[in-house]
Amino acid sequence: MTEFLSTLAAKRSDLLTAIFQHIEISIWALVIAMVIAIPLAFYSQRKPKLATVLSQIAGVFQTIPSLAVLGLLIPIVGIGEVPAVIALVIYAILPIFQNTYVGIHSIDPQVEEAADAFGMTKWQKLSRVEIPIAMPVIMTGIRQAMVMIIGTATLAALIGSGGLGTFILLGISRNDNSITLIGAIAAAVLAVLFSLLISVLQKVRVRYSLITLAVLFFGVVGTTVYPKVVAPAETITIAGKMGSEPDILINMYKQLIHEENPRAKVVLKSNFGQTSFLFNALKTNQIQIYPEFSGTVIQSLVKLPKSQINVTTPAATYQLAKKSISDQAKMSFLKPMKYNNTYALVVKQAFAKKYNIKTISDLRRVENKLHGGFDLEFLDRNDGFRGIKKLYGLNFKTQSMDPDLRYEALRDGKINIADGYSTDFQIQKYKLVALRDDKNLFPTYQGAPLMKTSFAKKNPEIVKQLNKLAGKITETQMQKMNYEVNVNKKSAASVARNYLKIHHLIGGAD
Amino acid sequence: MGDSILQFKNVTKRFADNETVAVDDISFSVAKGELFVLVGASGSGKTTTLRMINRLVEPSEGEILFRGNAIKNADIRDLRFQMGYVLQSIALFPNMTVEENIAVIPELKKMPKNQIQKIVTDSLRSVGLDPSEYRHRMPTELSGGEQQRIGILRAFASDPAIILMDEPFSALDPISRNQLQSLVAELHEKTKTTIIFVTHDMDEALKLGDRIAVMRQGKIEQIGTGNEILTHPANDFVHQMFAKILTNDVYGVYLNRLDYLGFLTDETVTDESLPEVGIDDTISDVFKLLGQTDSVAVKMNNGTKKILTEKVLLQFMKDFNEKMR
Repeated sequence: MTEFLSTLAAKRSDLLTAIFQHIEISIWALVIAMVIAIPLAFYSQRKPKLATVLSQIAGVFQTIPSLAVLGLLIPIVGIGEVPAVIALVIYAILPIFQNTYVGIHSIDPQVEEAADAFGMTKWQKLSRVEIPIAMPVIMTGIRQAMVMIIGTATLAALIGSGGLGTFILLGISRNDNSITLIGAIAAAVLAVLFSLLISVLQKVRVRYSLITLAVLFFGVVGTTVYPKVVAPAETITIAGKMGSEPDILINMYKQLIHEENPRAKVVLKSNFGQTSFLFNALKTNQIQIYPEFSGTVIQSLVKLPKSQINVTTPAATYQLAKKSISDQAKMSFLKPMKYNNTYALVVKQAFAKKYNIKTISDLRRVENKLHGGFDLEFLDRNDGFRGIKKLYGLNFKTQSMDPDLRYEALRDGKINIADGYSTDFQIQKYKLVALRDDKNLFPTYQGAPLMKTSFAKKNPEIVKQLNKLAGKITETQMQKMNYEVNVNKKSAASVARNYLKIHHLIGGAD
Repeated sequence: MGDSILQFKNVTKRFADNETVAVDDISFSVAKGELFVLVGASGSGKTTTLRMINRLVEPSEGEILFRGNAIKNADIRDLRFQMGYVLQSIALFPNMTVEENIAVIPELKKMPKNQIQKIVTDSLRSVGLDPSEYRHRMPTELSGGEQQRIGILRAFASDPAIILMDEPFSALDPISRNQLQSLVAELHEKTKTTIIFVTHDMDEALKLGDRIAVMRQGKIEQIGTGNEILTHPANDFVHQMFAKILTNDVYGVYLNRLDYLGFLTDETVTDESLPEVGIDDTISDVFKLLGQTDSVAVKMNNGTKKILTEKVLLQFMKDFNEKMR
């Protein structure tokens, strides 16, 4: 509980931003869905066949898993808020359409006849009779849609449109339940609040509910569109993947750029999404820079024949990544930092000391004492435990274990060796040590800024500044920084600044 | 009765399948200020006839003249603005208050706000509903009788040239029906608005109609005053129809029927001690009193009184029972 509260306090401003983004996406989606569904429902009133068909189409849309919709939309509209809003609109149409249709359809035909007989025009009939009478039912549909939108909008974080989903994803990736809970609770509270608001609107007269909706819409749209319209075109957007490490790195990038040009307009988008989203965002100029790993470039972003991938040294991996992404995607992969964020076998420091173990090869001496807890994927990978057995000639007792549980199990002595990533903050937290991969089994994952070549050519001073990180930051340093952010709840910006200052990469007063 | 305001000339209505003839070559005219009743069983074409007047239904053949002009050439909104409409299901707008319902047509006609206010106040008062209490109520907060009262006010509110009423009381309980029949009679008396009234209830037709058109299978069997129809039915069907209605329940017969048939004596009532009944009461009401007295005073709508004696009443009941056989 105290941990939850301290996380909440530390993330206060991020939470507000996320809530606002969440509301923004949701209201956009709601309004667009209303604009589509309500007129359609009115139009199909006298065409029951059309209504059935439309209703079925909307129903089919709704059964498509939201993740699939988001995925399908990426090649068409890219990433960010647009596909998120489109996906949400697709879900929201059905309840609004159906309720509007039923609402109007259930109006007593004699009331309609009265309106005709009194000489009302079509428009008068619509505005004075049909809409007001159907309003409570329409509002019920809008309420259902809104609750659904707010819930589903958490998935929008997967494609980098922000919102409360970033908290949920971040919490999952950091194995920090407090963060996940904050995101989930905030989304739930938001859904309840909007549902209440709409049910209040349901009871007041149509005029007031329309006014309230309009104020909300223009309030949100005004505050989000206005800055976009007036923002200078020179904005440099730097994004990062999920987690503290990319967050620290992009803060360093920003500070380095500001060191050389204090007036540069740099916007950071932390926890922006997963690799493919970031890469697409870079391609479509939605972002200009993000930190990427050499191993990931080779494995996921470029297409290479199998024989070429078999590089062993970190330098060769980086060179291959740099050349291939330049050739295939016209992108510049700047100089890499020192640390290698790859798989690691970790043991307790005490264990390592007792048996004098520094490398994976050293494990052979204690083979019969080992009891491993490995992630299921690691167990099965050729560059995972299979490779260890083969390359190092090791074999010991193992069990598969959820990634979240490995470190705790190691701490509690249930296992004495586990897989991890070499910069995981838990290595610091639980006083563990990562063993050296002396036979180079694990692929190299060295981080470096990735940007379009055209951008690099236009901004040589930025390239120069970012290259100052080349060869800097060791694994231990990165572990420490991750620890500062994840455990000590320091901001990524202050951790980044602290590092840059200590290593004289930036100067000046704090 | 003045000039004719509405004329049907050989009007026929066939519905989509072209087989069913709802209205079959009918002609009649309605005089200005008249309360004209179309009476008939369901399917007789009476409602279709009514709905052709405000063009909710367009005739297949023939011509309908309103104030001498063919309505098919008229602007439909103009035409409808001059015609009030009272529906069987009442059909008050459920989203509007009593006041807004009454004000609907004046507003559509863009009458000034203060005038509309006055219309609402006056008309509520005229039917004995306290404006301050009723104006802001929603239709669902009213009884069926009260709702239709508002339905009638809504039709009268903009002082139309003609008001169409489509079985307006058939869904109401007998007491409300009776009260509202009297209300329509009163309003008609006061405003002299032409009213076309559709009903399947012969009693209602007799009670309200200046003239009655009896319809069967899309044709008009007879047009005349209540008296004419009762005393000189044009054919066996009309005779049977009105006779049949008498058979229902002799105790439920309204006293106005007896008036039509001349069973009430016109002598001025001098004996103030006579128990009094209304013209809208039934024979059973009279029977409750006949234990104490051998005659009752019947108060007419215009305030005068007529006498009904026990002897005459028993004679009527004897005739009635004979007609049934």
